[in-house]
Amino acid sequence: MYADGLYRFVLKNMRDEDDAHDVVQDTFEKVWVKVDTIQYEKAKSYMFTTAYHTMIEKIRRNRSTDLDEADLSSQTHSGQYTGANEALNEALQRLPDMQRSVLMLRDYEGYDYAAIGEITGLSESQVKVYIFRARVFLKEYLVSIDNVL
Amino acid sequence: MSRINHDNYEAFLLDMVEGTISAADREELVLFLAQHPDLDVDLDGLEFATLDDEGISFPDKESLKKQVYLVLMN
Repeated sequence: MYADGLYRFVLKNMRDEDDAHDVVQDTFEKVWVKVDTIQYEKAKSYMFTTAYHTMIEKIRRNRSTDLDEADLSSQTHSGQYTGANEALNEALQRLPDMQRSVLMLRDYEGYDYAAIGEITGLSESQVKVYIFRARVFLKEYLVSIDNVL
Repeated sequence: MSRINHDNYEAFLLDMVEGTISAADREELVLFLAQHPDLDVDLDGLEFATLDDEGISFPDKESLKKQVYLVLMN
């Protein structure tokens, strides 16, 4: 029921289909083990919270075992943009992890700021600050791309 | 004492963009920005787009069903 949303959220953050697949599977496994203790109305939030923490764990593990991998945020784009979506994806990847996560929970999943705070462990005010910064960055990035093309 | 500071003023700016800011907070925010011109915020230029979900879906739902089955059987 929530597999598509979880997969989209994790894939956009991790940028690797296999890793995203693993995180969604791990999330379902963790959630199903505790299914008897989860309230139905909190199930979606619980799944995203679990997916978020599973993803962070996996990102940390990947980074510690692959220190030679270049930081995507420092890479330059060498090809041509084929569309607005590609440029937007490029911009998304350049956001700090936390900004990208909270923005996606807001725009893709429609969570309110308090719920995003619960999932990520941030205060509502911090969530808003990160989302504001992310939106400013995306806007400025896309305007700069527009000017180059 | 003002509730708005350097750490949280962007949260109030977001509320302003989304039209959810209260009249009192708006007044306080405008005052704060006037007192901190170094922040260089153009209130008139604040407007954002939101993201589309692009229709991405999980490619392996059968594996999740098997997982549920395994958990339920144990």
